[in-house]
Amino acid sequence: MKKALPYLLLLPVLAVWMLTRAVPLGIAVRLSFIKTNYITETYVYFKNYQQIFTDPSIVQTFKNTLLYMITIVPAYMCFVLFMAFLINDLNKKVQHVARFFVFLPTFVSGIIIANSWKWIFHPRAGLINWLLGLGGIEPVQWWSSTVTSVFPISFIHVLSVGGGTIILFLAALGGIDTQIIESAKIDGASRWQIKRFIQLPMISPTIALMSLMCTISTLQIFEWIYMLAPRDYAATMMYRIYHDGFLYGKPGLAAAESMVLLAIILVLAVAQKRLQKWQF
Amino acid sequence: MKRTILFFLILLLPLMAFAGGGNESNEITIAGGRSPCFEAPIALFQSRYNYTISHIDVDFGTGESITMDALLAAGTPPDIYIDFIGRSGKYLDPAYALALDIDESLYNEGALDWCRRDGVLYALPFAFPGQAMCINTSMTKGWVPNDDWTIDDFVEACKVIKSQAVDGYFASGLFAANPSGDYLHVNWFGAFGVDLFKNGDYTKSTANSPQAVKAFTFLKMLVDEGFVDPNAAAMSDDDYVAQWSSGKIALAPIRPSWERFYVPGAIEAGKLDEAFDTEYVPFPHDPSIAGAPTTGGGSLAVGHKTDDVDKAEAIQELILLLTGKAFQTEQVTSNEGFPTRTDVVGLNPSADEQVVGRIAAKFGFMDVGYANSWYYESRAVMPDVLRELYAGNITPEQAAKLYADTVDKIIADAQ
Repeated sequence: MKKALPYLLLLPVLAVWMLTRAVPLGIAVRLSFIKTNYITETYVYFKNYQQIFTDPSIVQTFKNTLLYMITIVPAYMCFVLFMAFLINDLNKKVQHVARFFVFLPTFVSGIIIANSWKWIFHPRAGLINWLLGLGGIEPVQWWSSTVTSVFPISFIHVLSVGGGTIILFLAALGGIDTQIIESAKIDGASRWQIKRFIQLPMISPTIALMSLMCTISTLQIFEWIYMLAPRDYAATMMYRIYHDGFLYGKPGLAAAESMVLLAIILVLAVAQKRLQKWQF
Repeated sequence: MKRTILFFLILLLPLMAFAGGGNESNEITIAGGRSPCFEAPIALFQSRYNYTISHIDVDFGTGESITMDALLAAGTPPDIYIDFIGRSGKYLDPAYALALDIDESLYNEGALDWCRRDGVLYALPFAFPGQAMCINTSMTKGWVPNDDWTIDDFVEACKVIKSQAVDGYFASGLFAANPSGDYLHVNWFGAFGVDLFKNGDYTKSTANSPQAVKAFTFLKMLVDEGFVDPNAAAMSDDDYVAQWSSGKIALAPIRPSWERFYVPGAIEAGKLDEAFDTEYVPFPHDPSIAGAPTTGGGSLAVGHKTDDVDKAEAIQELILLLTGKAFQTEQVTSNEGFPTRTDVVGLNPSADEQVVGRIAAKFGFMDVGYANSWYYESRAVMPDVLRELYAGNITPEQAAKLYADTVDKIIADAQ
């Protein structure tokens, strides 16, 4: 009985996990092989998966997602690292204030943030077009094509969700033994050399993890698309899943798209494990 | 012992998720369409039948059918579903809907056409609203076209209005960001005599026609000439209605009844100092046709089929009462459309709504395929095509072909 007790105590947690994770995942896998409107259902086997790779509008969302990854992940990592090093160099009191302000947007709902950006990028009355107008540049119809939508959305994503990552990098930087930094200073290392050759390599596991988290969050961008450009030319896979599953009543196709997204995230997670071993 | 009890209590927690559900046999559930005006028909029903009635609120906020999908997936569909025909039409499915056997002479001719699938009646309609062209006479300085105006008259009016309008005000309005409110701009196709489907044949779109090319050419011209907001491609129906209700569109396709709540809303929001003056006229029409039809968008009540014969009879009776004379009279007298029943007498008291009534009586309602399972998906095609057209990526000829081909593919996939 004593040996079995830990497993018995784990059962409730496992039951909750089964009900909230494993069972829905199983249902989603099954759903991905059927065509249903919740009234009738037919097994179509791999037809939903086939459609994902042959329907131009779905392929477009793959391309968009890739484009978001290319634009967002490097920009995001550079931005948050820059901010983290910047704040880390401040004195402790100012650091506390800075931490509070960089983390503040994290408390605000994405939909509210998106709505604010909608005003800022409004083609007629928006701040950005007003600024462009001061330089004699014609107003840009921001949400009318891939090119003009992807970059503002990437910009918004980088600025809006970076707070949490900056705090994590600050924690990682704070965790470096100060004696190492002091030794480097005694050896004559410049501030740049300390950052590049000591601090950066020492927080590389955090960088790898945050790169993965950023990549996954980029794959899952939803609210910016929903509020700003709910169109094929700007949509991410996550938005497409919502679009097909809830707007157009194609749960089978949406489930298949979810499985593809899951597979991509799994591959990235494995890659991240390998990447963790890499030193800057 | 305590530990064991605690363990089983914790184990029971997740199982609570499965509690409830399943309609009671003496209960009839109604999803959507909650209205104080249903109290009298429900009371009448309950005086005849021994059923309790419960309501399920449906979230229509973003035009999705999440509530119904969730109810169906959970195996607890409502006994009666009331919603906009574009959404409820999906459920006119023999596998889902209760076939109705009623005295059809109670309904106006053609009023039940969109309630059938393969000839079987599966739903009953409420009063049906339509739309007309709203002339903002505060912008047109009192000018109102006659009822029989043509597309050329419309274009001439746009030129004059544009030459006098200040920045941010437009001769007319368009939007193409989302499928919602599609009837507002799809009516232009009716104005050019385009049949999206011919003679009730929903197996193939007939929209790829010379008339459709004319309609697409006209819409593109409105954008190119600056008669509408140059941002039309990225505007949603909400943006469009907000622009109109703020008094910034001179000639706007709109439902007359909307003026009663959208314009006061714009004043309250500080977007408008005072209500602008309006007159409603039919859509202008291409000279090749006698007049433009109107596009509607009313609601249907669909019953869920059941093996319980008594309950099926009760559901049918309740649908008849809910969509019946009392409620339709209330709808019509509060300026929300036109009766679909013959026993609802008296004109809609609004002169603006009477314009729509005249259009409907003379030129009918445009058939956009509402009652088909694929309608909801097909309505998203037009904005996709219009955005490409407005951006100059495709020609009007390509737009007509792309629209018809895409709708045909959706129909084929749905089979």
